[in-house]
Amino acid sequence: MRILSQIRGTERRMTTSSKERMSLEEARDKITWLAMIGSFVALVLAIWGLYLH
Amino acid sequence: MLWVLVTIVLPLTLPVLAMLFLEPFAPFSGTAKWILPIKDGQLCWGAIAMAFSGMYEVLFPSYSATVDAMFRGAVVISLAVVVFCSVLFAAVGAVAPTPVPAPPGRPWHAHYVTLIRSAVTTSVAAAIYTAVHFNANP
Repeated sequence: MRILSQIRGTERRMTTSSKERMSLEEARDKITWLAMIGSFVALVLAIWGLYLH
Repeated sequence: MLWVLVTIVLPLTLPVLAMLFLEPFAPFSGTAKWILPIKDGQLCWGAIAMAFSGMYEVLFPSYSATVDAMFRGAVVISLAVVVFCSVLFAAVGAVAPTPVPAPPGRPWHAHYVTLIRSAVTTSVAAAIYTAVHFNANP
């Protein structure tokens, strides 16, 4: 029984770790997407500044 | 054109070229892939340097150049946004690195998203820096 519970505990930890990994990659993708859009906004602002110049 | 080569092209491409030189040699063959130095947003380190250089050039122009306040403000704000975005790429890419090689069946543009997006941001930084350099140093 103890061995079984230990195995179950390991499985649970592995599942949690896998879920955390997934959410970490999703968070990375969202942040990189926002950062890329932010850089586009910066480009538009810079073009506006250069146009005024 | 020489300025673009030594300031933008070479710093971004030399690590990739160095990987190509390492690849044929025994300890590195198989593990030295050209994509490794840039896959996790490392290009944005170059973008940060370019953005700060651009800010410096627009804030402290040469004596012959005339830089009006509106141009200076727009460029400094836009480069500050680029720095912020690039810092996010560099940090988040390091926390969640992209595995190499890509899993079979997954298209490369879906797998190497951090690389592609960081390349876009770095291109934006390079474009603004080039425009600022040639406007602030006529």
